[in-house]
Amino acid sequence: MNTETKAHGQTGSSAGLAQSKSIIAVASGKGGVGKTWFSISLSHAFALKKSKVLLFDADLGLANVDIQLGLMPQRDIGGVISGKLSLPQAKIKYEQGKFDVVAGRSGSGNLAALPPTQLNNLGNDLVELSSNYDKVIMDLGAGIDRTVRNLAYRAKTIIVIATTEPTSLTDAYAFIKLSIQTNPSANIRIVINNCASHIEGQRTFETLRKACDSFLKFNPPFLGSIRHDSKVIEAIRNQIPLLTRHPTSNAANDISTIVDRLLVDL
Amino acid sequence: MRLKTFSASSMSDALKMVKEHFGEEAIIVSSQKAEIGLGVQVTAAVDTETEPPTKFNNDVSNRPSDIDEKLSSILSGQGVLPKIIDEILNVCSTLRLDDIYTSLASSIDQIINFKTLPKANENETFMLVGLPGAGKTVTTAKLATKAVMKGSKINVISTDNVRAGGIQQLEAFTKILKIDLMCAEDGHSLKEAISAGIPQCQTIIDCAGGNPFKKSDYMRQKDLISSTNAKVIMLLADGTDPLEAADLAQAYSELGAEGLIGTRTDLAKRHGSIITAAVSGNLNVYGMGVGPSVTDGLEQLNPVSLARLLLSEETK
Repeated sequence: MNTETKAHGQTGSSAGLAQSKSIIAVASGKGGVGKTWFSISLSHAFALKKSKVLLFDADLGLANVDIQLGLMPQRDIGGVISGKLSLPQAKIKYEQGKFDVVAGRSGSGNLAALPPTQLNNLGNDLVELSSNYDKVIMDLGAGIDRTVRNLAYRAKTIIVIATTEPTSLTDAYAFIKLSIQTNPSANIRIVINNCASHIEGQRTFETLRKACDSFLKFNPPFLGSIRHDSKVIEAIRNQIPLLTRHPTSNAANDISTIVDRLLVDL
Repeated sequence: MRLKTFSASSMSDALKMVKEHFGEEAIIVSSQKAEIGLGVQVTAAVDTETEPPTKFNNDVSNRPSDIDEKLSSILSGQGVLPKIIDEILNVCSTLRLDDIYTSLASSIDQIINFKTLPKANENETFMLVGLPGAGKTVTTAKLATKAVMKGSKINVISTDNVRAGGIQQLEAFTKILKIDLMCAEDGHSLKEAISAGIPQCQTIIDCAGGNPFKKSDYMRQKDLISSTNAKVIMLLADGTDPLEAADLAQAYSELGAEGLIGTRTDLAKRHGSIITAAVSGNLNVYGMGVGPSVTDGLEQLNPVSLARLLLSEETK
């Protein structure tokens, strides 16, 4: 296994890659389940509860945190990878949400195929930077490839987000399966997004849990469900975070419940 | 994994369809009444190979025979007793899984029972027993802290009047947690203490450390255990010599222990004693102590995390 660098006083991992307790990765396997929206809302909700938050857009191929937030970043991850910027220099303040953002660079497909050494360096820099924050939310790319899993490895907690669609569940399962093989110490939590009701969310989670339990002998805990809410689409279209635009909507309440659970558990 | 929902007029028809479509391997992940009309809907799943698009690491060969060999050397390095290694490898060879983690976790799952750590809101009594220094008092403090942080009431009883400062050490914690620490000397006063406690909540009894092979200690422990219907959990410092651990587990099991918590797991390099004790004493594994912090120093163990623990030194 790769043992490029050792932890900077952070929790060591079995693969020799540094990990950080404050990093929470958001993964899904399948694209289009609301991962970026969830990462933004999660960051925002933590910030509202007075945590110092960094949102790291780790979707190196098709980044869009900045677009959802309506930012026009002068600096982004592209500068870090090309060596022009250090990671701390690439972060920008998102005043409206009172949290920091490292924006990705959308459309730079070549970033997704970063060589292992550079990927490890990026991960190490992120772990180092995470010591300045209470929470670092890492919005991972879709898929289960090396880049995604390598970055996910840096997080002590991985939130796997899925919807009620069977394809989303099978992809979430594939992500979990590979994650526990390569990162067995991962603290994986499940969120079901865009469900008709919490009952449907719970039922969907049970489906995924039973599959994980039967095939992997692994029981990921349920972090919560987020109900379908037309206000989410409306907020995304207006490039304004849900918790600013509709702070009392169902989805906003559900996000807030999830953050409360994480604040108690982590 | 492949997932498919089948609709049929009856459960047996639906299950027949599942079997025809997916074969014997399928599991049912959900079943419910059909949304429209009569009948049932059953969702079934089968696991398929999930190949990573690019290899993340190539340290573990995929050939099951290699896995057996590798496991055997890792487990003996961890100090697991040879007869238990054989038991694990036997299960492994029937499972024929293609990776070392799942092989070990699945085998552990077959030979050891796991239980969840005492939950604050459960109205149960737990008695912690073990050698002096096994971590009974700190574990009591950890469980009490967990309960208080969850907002639950809890009774804490100490029978540790043997060791100088035994009660005082626990009292230092219970004072901060604003819990009235009760004390008992023998079975009779323990019974009284339990009935004097707050009803309908969890009770933790911190026993004095003793040597279960010494008659007076044995009798004293027996008296305490037989006076309650507490679940008795043996505490074992991880890294204890495995032969010693096996003997202790058998002795405590005879005394009535049904559970095991490994302590000081963060300080041990070899974790074979936990698995050895669990198998030798037929004890349910509850969890492990992972640090001195009373707020987060106790973690749940399950087959996967125990496998991970045993394999962790190897992959460092």
